[in-house]
Amino acid sequence: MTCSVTVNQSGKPFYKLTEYVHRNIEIKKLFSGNDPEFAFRLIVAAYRDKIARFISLFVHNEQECEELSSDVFITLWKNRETWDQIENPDSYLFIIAKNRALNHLRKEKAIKSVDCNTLEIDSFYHTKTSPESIFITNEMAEILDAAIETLPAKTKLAFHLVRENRMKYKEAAEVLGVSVKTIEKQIAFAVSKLKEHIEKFR
Amino acid sequence: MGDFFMERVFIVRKSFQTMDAPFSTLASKILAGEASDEEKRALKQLLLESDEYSLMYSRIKEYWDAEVNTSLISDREVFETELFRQLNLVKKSEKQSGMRKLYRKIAGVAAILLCMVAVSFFYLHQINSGHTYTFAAQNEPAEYLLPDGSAVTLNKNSTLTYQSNFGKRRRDVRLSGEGFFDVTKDATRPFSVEIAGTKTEVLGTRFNVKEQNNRIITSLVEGSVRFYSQNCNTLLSPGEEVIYHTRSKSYKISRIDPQLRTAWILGRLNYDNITFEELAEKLEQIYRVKIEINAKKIAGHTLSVSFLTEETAGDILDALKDELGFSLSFNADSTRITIDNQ
Repeated sequence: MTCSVTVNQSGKPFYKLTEYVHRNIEIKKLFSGNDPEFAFRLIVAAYRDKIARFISLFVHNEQECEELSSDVFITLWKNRETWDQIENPDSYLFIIAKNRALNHLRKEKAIKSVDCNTLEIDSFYHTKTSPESIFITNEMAEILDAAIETLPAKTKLAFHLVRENRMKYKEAAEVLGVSVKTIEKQIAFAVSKLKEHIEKFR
Repeated sequence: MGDFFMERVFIVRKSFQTMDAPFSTLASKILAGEASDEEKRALKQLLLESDEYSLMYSRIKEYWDAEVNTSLISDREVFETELFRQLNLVKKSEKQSGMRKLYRKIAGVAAILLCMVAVSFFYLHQINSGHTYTFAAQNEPAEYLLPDGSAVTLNKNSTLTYQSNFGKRRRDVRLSGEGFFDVTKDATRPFSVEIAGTKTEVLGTRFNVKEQNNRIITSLVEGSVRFYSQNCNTLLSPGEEVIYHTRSKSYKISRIDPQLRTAWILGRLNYDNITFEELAEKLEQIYRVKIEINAKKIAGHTLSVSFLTEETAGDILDALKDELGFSLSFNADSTRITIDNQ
């Protein structure tokens, strides 16, 4: 615990620190710092939307998404003693989020285990995809969203993590508990689906 | 001449592989930032040669990079206010449980004093008027460091206590629940773990101790430990464990895969180069299911796997089925999994 937080705590506006926190390595530094509450605030600011968005893939209710995201951060706080052992903060938080969401579904459906293949994943719950409109129009983006929606549940999850959260295959594999090869195949399949629909569009 | 020929063959094959890689595979790797330099070159070449591919890639990339806006957390300030309200509640309850632990400690010390009088026949425990220190893991496993540099990982809902005279002549700790110990070597000061009337004594080693349904299970990963209780005094070697029944006072020593006993620490199991058949056996042990392999060809296939212990055997096999080419079926209550050729 000799490493200290290298962020200037006073004076700087919060949003700048948020940008700073986006990089995994810096979060690791924060995690092993000596002011857990300060680190916690930054992490919440950097991750709340990402985590809520990820949970919304599983749970299609705004209020519940918000509550579950809050739970994720409370879990993170309760485990602050072990923060310095976290190897990859990104996958760590998403694993907690996944477990929270699956637990919630289990309770809601009063079943023992959730079968990942039959999960109803809504890839674009309460979202709007805005392309730059150079090569594709908003209309085409909508069609491509719909194309992604036709993929198997596990593939949708992988696509979301790699595309929107810029996760490495290895990190996404860790979060979803599958092999790197599987993620690689899933992403290639998603891209081939996009290609297929773009071809149809013309 | 021979060498030259070999080199040519090699180059031809290499370029064949990359040129032939389908567009989607290459494009997906590049978008995900997972492509090698060679793959990047291959896609560039492909895009240069074909306007159609070039436009296709631009479109897919624009979609990939497009912003996905969400309004899930409608009011961030409200979200944070609520979150920090909860955080303060957690802080308060942590403090309270600290106080409760203190009361429990006092009650515990009183009970020990009483017990000392009544059951001093078993072993003499040094009582010291000094402080008692307690580590308690709550909902998740947590690692703690003892004053001598030994590390202990406590499973959830487990506690470890030691006295302020720890490390003077001996290193005695008391455990309830489950703990994994990585003990610093020190031949002059033996380290002992007391749990439910049994003792595990070591000099410097790594081992796991667990209390479950009136059984004490001590599993040794490395080094050597001596386990003793009323009618048992035995030395374990690495890869062995003793299961002691606290009611019947009987015990049994068996060989185990130490990884199975320590998987709870990381929540993950890794196996390198094991055959599918061996993996199935492990899964049977961990998840208490029966796995029947009818696809004999696959049984001998070696693989390296890594999985989270919270997954089910079905999840793990499901993830492997495409790779190895088999199909899965379950019986009604999922206690038996049958594996057939695809």
